[in-house]
Amino acid sequence: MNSPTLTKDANTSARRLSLADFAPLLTLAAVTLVFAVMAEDFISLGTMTLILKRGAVLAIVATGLTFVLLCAEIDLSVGTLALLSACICGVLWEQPFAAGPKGLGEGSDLDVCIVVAIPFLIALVLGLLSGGLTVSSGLPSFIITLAMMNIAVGLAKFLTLSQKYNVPPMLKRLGNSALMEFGTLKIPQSAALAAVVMLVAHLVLQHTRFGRYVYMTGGNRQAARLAGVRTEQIVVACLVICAWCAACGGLVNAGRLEGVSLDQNADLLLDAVACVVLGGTSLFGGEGGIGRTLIGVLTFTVLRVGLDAVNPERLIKFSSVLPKAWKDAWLQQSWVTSFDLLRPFLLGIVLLLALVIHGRLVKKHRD
Amino acid sequence: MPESAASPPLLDCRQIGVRFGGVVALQGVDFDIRPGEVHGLVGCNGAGKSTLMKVLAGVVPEYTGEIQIDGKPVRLHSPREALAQKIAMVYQELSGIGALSVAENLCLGRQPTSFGRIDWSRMNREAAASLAELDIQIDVRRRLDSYPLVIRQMVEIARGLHSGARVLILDEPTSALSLPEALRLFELIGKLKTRGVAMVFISHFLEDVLAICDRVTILRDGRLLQTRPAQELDRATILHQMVGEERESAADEKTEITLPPAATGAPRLAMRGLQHAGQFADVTLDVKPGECLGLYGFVGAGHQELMHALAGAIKPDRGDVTLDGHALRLGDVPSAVRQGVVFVAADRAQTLARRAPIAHNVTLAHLKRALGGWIVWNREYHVCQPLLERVGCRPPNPSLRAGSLSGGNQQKVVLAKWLLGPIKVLLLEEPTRGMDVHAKAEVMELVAQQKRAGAAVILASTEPELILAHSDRIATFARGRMTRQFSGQRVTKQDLMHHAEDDGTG
Repeated sequence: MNSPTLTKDANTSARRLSLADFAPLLTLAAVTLVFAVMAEDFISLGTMTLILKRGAVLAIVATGLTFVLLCAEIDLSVGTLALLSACICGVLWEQPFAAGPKGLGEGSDLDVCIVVAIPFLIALVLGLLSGGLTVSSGLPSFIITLAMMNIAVGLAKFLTLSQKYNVPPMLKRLGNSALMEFGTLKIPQSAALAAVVMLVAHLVLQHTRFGRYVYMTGGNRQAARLAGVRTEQIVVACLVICAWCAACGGLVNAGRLEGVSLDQNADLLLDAVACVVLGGTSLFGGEGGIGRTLIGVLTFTVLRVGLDAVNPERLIKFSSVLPKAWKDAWLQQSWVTSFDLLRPFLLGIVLLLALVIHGRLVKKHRD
Repeated sequence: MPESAASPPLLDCRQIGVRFGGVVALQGVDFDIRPGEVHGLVGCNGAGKSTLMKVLAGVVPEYTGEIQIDGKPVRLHSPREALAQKIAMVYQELSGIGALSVAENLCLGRQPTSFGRIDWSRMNREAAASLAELDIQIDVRRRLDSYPLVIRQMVEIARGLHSGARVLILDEPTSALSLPEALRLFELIGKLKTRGVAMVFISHFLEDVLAICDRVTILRDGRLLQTRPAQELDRATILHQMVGEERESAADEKTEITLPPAATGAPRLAMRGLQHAGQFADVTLDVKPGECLGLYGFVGAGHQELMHALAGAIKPDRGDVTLDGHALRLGDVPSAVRQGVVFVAADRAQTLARRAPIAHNVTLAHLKRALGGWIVWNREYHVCQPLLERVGCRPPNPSLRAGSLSGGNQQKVVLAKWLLGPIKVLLLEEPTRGMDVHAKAEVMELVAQQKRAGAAVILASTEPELILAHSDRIATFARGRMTRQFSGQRVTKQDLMHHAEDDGTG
């Protein structure tokens, strides 16, 4: 084998970057800019705290989903797996051996460990199950994980009997307390955890053999197979990682909400998919990465937080360009008085716009 | 060359010419078909048979020359127009839809309806009737893919007739059929003749052509050599004309060689009784270190599938393979790769991730060996860059996407991938397909280097020239079985083609 010659003039940078590569970043900048103008006091440390807090769960789940999308599969069960994990944790916590009924007791460190570890074990089993069935049945993971989604939600309902359960104080702290405070900027523990998860995921994907196999399995499964990669194992591993991330996200979310009930994590799946795709990771595998997912999560959370912060009544009242007659008329309109109900619609429109523009840029770049 | 006695041609092509870019694919070809005639079309790979038929099927609209149907000039711009002129094509790779019933396939696009809904009973009746006319007795309600290949092919033909075709183009109809199946197809063709259907029969199997055709047209290098009644021809004459004589000068275009005496010593790779249902049967072969074994056969002869089996991509039903005397695990690519049995598949869509950087493709198979446990781009770049220089990939830039390279350079990337690890047996399936002469020579030189370094090479191809130019020993395949081995003797292209159509009966 040739020893690597170290030529200095070699252009070691990756292939030439194009507009399409920067599109997600530009979208993030544009969205931030729009809200900086539209919402009062948007560019502030307080908003940043809010974004970190709201984005943490999403970031953890989207990281897991990135693995699955990179190898050209999908996992539809992340939302309900998150819910199931939180439910298992809550139900165990209220058992006599731990904190007792209503979860009011303290519980030892060992109990907390058990109560947190078992949901991960269950997630491992369910992840292995969806992975194993996907590669052995030849059915698309779309179908298998769709079934898994229902299995998980059914189990969650049965376990909790639709009751609300308490969770260990450790999780509550994780979801709500700040790790560090800089004036009004409070970095939540959950955001720190998300950062660690993403960093590890990034290192795994970029610097380990497993990570490379994930990319190549998604890039061209047959080529990877003919090169001796056990692509089935890679797919199973990705689905397990995704299930684990979902479980982790579910526990953090339960902590943030100080308990677990069945209405949690309802939008988690689609939000997470939106984040990953918004960052520019291909739904067809092989392209993307954790850095992109981070940008996607930030964009999505900025959108969410920003839309909540926008108050059209205020905007109209204090606008200096609008004539007075218009102001009075508009303030009576339903789209102003019931703006809250319009927020998901606007979120959808912005997402659609961003994704269509990204898609076109990528297509143009490829032609 | 119209015979005065015969009826006027149904379809008459005059001076057809086709160019693809700067390459002349067809030049000044005259071709005509009369009603009730089976017209054979023969020639080597690249002689222009497929191109001519694609012109008739409307797939190649940029042609020069004139086509007349029933004496009226027509211009075929699209498959739809060709169908409107009652020309139907039955492709080598079948175009029926396996998941639909036979009746649905027959009536595809023209399902009988009543009140806007498909009239199933009428459709099944019509389908059964049109098959019965051809003496095909099958249940039309069953799925098409539940029937053997010959039935599917007959259904394809019936579909063409059902749509009112008067000219049927049969592209290699017998290449994947067993002998009795082929005879059954011939019966059908005979029946169609009496009904006045004109047919073009394209085949590598000259015996079949001579058995079924009334006239035969021979093409070579995109030109018409001659059209003559079949009874005035025999196999030797046709082969001789197809191959030509004056071409032996070009290095890669050898039409005959003298094989070196058989190498002695222990075989590197030995197969015993390998069998995989429907693809190949009873293959016993071996290859020695530093030797190139050429496998020649037509498409579907089984030699290409054999390569997939050796690489571990498919698990043969029966038989065993030994590498240096030790049994090789079958159907397991990773263990084959680890032991140095490496495979270059014909279809580059199966060997390269086009959107990934070249470097990722190169290091894929031997990541640990090449880069260790922690992958760093800078190191990967500096491992791949000299390797790409060595295989002559242009440009030798590992950070480009693999899909941005030309076909020849893509193949060099595939070879570079294996150069990072041990190569004991190099399996090549059509390694130079679609490449220009220069790229071909470069790729085959890389293979020769490996051979000199002691690797055993198995080269499977449908191009006799390639096999003759690079093999030390040759085995021919026909219809899933090995028909002949050549070693230490003179071999000509005719010999190869003769044994590739041998059906084992004599």
